Amino acid sequence: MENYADKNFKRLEKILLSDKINIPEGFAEIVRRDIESVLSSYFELNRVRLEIIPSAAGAEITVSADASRIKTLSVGSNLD
Amino acid sequence: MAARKIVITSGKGGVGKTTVTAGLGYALAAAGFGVILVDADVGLNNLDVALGVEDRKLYDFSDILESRCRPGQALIRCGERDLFVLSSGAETPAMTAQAFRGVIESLATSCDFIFIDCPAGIENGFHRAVSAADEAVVVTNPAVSAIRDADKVLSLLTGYTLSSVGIAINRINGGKVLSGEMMSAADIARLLRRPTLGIIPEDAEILLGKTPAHNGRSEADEAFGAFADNIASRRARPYDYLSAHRGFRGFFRRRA
Repeated sequence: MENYADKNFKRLEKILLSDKINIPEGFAEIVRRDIESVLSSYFELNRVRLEIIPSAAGAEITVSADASRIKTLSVGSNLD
Repeated sequence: MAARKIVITSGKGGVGKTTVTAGLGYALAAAGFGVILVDADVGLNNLDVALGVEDRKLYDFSDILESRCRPGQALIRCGERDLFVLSSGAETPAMTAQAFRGVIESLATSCDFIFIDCPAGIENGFHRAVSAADEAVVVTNPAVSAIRDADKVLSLLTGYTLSSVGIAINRINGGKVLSGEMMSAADIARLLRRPTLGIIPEDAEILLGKTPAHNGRSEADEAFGAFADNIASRRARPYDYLSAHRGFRGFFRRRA
């Protein structure tokens, strides 16, 4: 007898994934800018890249960045 | 201490939100908690019918918002226990999300739990109901369309400030799960990736209109008790809905 449970489970995995693929336009850019803002406190950044790949388990997020220098953390401007 | 305010939602209509709200409220009241059930479905309200108190309504939510009564005066007591229902009433311009939340907050000082029975869909009624809650339970059943809509609702709920979001799986048939015809509760939980707070077996008594207040429930009683225990203790222990379908009991059930 055909196992409808397994068949429907596999159907739903595909359906739920396809529902998640439609990330709103501009969303990735908003996230990239926030990450760039945080990283720029510590690095002289050249470029920040962000990739979001929806998956059945949620999303796989990959961040990569190039920096020319690590910034010196300020120990305070008024040391009088 | 103020009541825990929990919205019962689903997205898709007909999955059993009202039944689950009524059964869960009844089980918690039976355990000694003070419970208020609020019907947020303006126009298609049925919570009073689910509890068998439809002929005792004097005032409803719209009366509170139009200042025709105080919030406590619109509550209908269900049986001997500390269980009350607040019916929704007709649509009114005064039914804003803020006003709705204000009434819920005023009721929260007088009980342990407030359950908000959310209307179907994801429009204004959904937003109004969810905005007034601190926690959410998304009800689904094993149908593919119900699970898909539950997943969409779970995504929408991430935009609200909710301390916990769990799922309840309604109308599951243990016999069909064991025979491979129906997805199991574990399969559904794996797809939706949220804690399973309640598993309610399919129960013909509910379709026959037997209400918890009239002790008409059979298979669902124990399940609602386990669900209530999970809510009260903030745990997600799975309910064994398959045991009744295994062994000799299961054999005779399948033959019936």
